[in-house]
Amino acid sequence: MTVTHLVGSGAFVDALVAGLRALGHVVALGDVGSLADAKERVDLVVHVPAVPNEPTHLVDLTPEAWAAAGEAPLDEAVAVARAAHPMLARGDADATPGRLAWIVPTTTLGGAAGFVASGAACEGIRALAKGAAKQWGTDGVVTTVVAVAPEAFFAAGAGPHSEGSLSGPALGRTGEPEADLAPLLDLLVDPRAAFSTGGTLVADGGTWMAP
Amino acid sequence: MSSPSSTPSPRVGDLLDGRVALVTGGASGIGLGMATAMARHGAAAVLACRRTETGEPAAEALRADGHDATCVRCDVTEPDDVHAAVAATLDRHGRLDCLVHNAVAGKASGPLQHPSDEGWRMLVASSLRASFECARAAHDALREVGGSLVLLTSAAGMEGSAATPLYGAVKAAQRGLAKGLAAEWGPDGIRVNCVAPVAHTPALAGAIDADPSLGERLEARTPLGRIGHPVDDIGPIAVFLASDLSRHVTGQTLSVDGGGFRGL
Repeated sequence: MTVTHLVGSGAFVDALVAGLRALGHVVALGDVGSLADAKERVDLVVHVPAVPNEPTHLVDLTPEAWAAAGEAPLDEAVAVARAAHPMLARGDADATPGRLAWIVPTTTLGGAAGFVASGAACEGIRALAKGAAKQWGTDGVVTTVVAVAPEAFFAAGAGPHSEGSLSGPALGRTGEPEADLAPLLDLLVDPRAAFSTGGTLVADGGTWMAP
Repeated sequence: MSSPSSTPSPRVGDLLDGRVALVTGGASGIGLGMATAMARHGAAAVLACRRTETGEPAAEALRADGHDATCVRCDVTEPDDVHAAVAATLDRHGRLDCLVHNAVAGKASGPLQHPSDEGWRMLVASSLRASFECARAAHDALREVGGSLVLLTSAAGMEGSAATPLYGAVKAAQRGLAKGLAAEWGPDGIRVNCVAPVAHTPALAGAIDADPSLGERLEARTPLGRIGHPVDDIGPIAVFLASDLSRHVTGQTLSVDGGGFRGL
């Protein structure tokens, strides 16, 4: 039985929860506070940062709006990591490590007009995942960032699109959280995936293929 | 192994004649190195410094070499200071061609599960929030001249850091900001890029004092075999990014570290 904590909210997260439960995960959904209150051993913690799905140009952002989109998601990611560590860490070096995962839209990898603040926060999260992987590897904690198509991450019709691509996804579709992404998260807690840590796994049907 | 030291030189080129560069954290280290290199190519350099007692002598030294250099007091964690520094630059020179945000403060090393909240807040304020404020303050002036915004980042923001994971996170966030802003400001004719340097600076000297093997480790991972010089090795990248030589370059991170990081 895989025990998973998801931190986030919205339709994308709800679909992930449904997909993970269909795969047999025991899923707790909540915020950082509920994660910090949890006491049991957890196999997988997934943070889906809350980022705006409407574009705003940087010069039109108030400092408060900047903080909400550009700093709060990164602050929350640090808080998630801190809260998750004791639940994911394994005392036994032979045990399957606990995995800490973040999900971000692929547009943060290349940058998107109108989404500068959230792109900054999500790139910060990617480096946080690397630093955490390096610092906590011997604690039995591994990390991953899963970068997904913005068309899947954001509600239909909202958010940035894969504007940097000259062609559509190689697989012909951008993916569904329940059918395509939940199984990938399930794969990441398989012992056979335990030697992968700190990386960004792109799961967008083959639109973003840059290094 | 030490890097070759820069020698005073009143003028080495004219790539930036008539242009104006504002550099935060310009009193020492990489900021001063970039400002010096740009001044040697004809730019008027404005050193934005938290402490004028170090910034004024730095500006005076540049003037003694025949350059146009001034110091303006600016704590980048204070938005009003950032906007005032840009306004003072425009008042004096009538234009702004290049803003380099180099200043950083705060320390967030140690175990990630027990970070210093104060250090983290200062890192975010001085690096990330200040990048936002610098961009906001400079946008109109940069658009007027088709200018250049440069953010200082780090290899730690690309490869992650075990020793300073939160520093890596904010430096990566600056890269994310630059990539998005390059897309957003391209139609305005403004280029936005990052520089990831490694150079002999007071900050690096302090880090080596605390960790004496650090210098050797840095050199060992550097194919060119030495740590860079702020003026002669890092400065030319600022000249490039402030000049027309880089007119078709935006959204990039240039590692200027002797080849130490080659992961992009």
